[in-house]
Amino acid sequence: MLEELQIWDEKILKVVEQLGLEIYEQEFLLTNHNQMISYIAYSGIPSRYTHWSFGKAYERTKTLYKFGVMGLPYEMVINSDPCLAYLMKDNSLTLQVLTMAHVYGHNNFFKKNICFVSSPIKASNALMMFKSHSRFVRKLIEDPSIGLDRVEAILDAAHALRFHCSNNFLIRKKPEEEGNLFSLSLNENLLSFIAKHGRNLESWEQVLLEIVEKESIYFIPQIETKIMNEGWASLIHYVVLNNLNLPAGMHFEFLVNHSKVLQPTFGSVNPYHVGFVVFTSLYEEFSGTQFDPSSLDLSAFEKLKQIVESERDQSFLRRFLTSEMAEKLNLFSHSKKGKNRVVSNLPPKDFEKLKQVLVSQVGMGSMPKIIVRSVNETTLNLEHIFDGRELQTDWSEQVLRHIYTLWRNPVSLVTFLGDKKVRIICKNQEIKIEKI
Amino acid sequence: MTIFREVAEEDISDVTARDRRRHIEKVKQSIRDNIADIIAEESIIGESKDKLVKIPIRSIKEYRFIFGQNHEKVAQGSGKEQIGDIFEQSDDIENVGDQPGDQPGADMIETEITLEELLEIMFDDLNLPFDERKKLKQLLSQKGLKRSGHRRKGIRPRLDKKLTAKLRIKRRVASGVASNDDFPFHDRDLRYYFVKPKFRESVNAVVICIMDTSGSMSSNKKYLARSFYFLLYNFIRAKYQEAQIVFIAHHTEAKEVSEKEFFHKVESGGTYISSGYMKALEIIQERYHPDNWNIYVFHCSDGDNYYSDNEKALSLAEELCKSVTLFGYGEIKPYGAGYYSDSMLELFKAIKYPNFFCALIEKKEDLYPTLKQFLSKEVA
Repeated sequence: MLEELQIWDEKILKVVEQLGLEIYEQEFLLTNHNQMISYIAYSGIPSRYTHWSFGKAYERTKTLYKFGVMGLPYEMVINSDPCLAYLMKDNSLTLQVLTMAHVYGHNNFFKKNICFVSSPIKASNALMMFKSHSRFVRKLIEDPSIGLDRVEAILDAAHALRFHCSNNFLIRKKPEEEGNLFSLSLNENLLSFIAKHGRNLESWEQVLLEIVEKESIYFIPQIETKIMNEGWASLIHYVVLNNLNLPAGMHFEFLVNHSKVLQPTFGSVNPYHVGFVVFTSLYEEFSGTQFDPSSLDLSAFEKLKQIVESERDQSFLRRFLTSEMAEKLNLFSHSKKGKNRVVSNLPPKDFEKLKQVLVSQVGMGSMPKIIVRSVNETTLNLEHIFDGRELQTDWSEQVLRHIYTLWRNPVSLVTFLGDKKVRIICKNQEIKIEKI
Repeated sequence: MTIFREVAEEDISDVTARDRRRHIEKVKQSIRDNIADIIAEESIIGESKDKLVKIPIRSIKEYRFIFGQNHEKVAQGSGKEQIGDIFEQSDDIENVGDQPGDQPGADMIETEITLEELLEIMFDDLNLPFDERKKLKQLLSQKGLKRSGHRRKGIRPRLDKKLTAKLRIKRRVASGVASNDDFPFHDRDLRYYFVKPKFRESVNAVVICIMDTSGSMSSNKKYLARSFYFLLYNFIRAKYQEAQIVFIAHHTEAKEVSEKEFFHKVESGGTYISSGYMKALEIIQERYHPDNWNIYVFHCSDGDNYYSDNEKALSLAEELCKSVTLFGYGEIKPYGAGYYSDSMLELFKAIKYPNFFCALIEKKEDLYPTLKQFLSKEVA
């Protein structure tokens, strides 16, 4: 099996080189399906710090897999240098070849896309970082004066805020602004704000918050580029496999699997499908010809590579999604009407409205924007930047309790419920909601 | 150069084991925290032990700021959608992958456990308060098996490999064959461990359950009483296999009944609580001498005693307190059952023994706390 994979790998690499794709050195790990479940639970990095949520992710994946609710992904790939990817032993040779080509697409994306390139966490250090975090957490747990329960309480609370950290690395703040409490208001970086300005945090607690923040920063580029990344990898595997001169049987199996990957999931958005359709449509526009993977117009392909380098999902869709593509993808929007949800916008008529909604729900747009408005005496005043989407109130209340655990003083959040502006206050773990 | 490598099984299972164990602990803790609700919600009483109980677990959620469900969203469809069509939302499909699910419902884990496991969790921190002064231990309980000598015949797992190998060497030496020559095992070499059951003496304990089965005990009251005893019974069976249980049913007369009769029989008539206590005292006298036995008496009644019997009941209750380790009285008074009816709780206030406890059971939710209250008492 290994030798066979190596032979195919050389063939794939030749095509990758012809396409001019820059990549990190690649490392493939072969796993069985039990191991795959574990890797999924740890987002591919089993050396992460110990936390029960990974156990929960494991149980959930295993249950869903066991009852056939979902299959396991064919592959899992880590943004690291060398690039790590897991292959499932049980897969057929064709599926392995397809997966390997797909992995090279991701590998190239990791190496070139601006979100990954500008990330303060370098791919070559990523695995080391996770390991050292894991060691630190283990030391705290083993420290008799701290112990598992206290570590867990801080991690649980920090996880509630994990995606409220600095997520745009292109915006650099002047150093003098960072230290100042007042200029830090309007700060959406809640985790580091609390780590820096929380009054009663011990130093190990501050370090834990920084650890959670750093790990989130590592994962944010993947959230920001889900559609582009998967679309690009799908395009690459499609082009590569069409240029491998596969035997007829393998070629047919490849086509079946390719269309499975791109199959739209009714009622949600399949990032593979959307990304693939946008990239191929753009290619056709640039080259002026039908997209033919076996005889590629390299100058048009070069333009796609530039797009890969410079965009994230939100800007990618905002700039390039057209009404025709939306129709091809059968996109529609739905909104609440009484008890039901009804179809509200369809291309081409309401395409602009639909695109706006789609852009707002991808990448980090899928998460509410919460900022620090001010600190009054000891109260931490947060505000939800309202864009028409309400918060899930009961969840927000629990998050405020978590923030209270860290801030150890009253916390308030201003948001909208229906059309009314409200303030949710957490004091001594008690929740109060008042209208403003 | 691309590297291909196979992952060894142990590379990862170790890593996940710890977090999985911690997660299960959290799940169990969550069940424990909500157990009173679960007991009350589920009609588990009298169910078979294999019944699966579904428990939604809340505390195990990982809360974040997320959007609610009211705003507009984009999805892929069939291409045939028309404005205004009703779109059935599928909330239960989990988001998988890097992107955290944005559906609150998707984060809900419902765990299924069997009734037996549930009871186990319930009884984890409950104990019968033992009076260690009663040193004499008569009851033997079987605690597994122990090895005792060898036999030529036996089952394969009990083969004593060391002895068998020794016997082969003995036989080889005896027959003068050199050690490097081929000399196979023979049936005669095989020796098996022989095992005997192992007994352990355990503390003598007897639980006497007294239930009022008179006409005033409506079906609702009987249900509560039986539920209480169901929990108690399962608790004792789960934790003290060797403990003896005596069932007494009474109206104006009391008699010892079987477990089946106790849980299922319907009776009627007036109430002499004293009759139940008298019967309990008789049984103690005959079979369970207080010097040797830890005796636990539990009585459930609606407290609607025949007036003239009250004094006798009181004195017999005091009598019982003198000879037993623990005496618990649970008064079943469901809401709306009429508070003007008589209550023994008032009367029993006169009992000053530290091993006597009363509780009022008004609803299903009270059952578990009451049991807990009875069983968490320390005996002075």
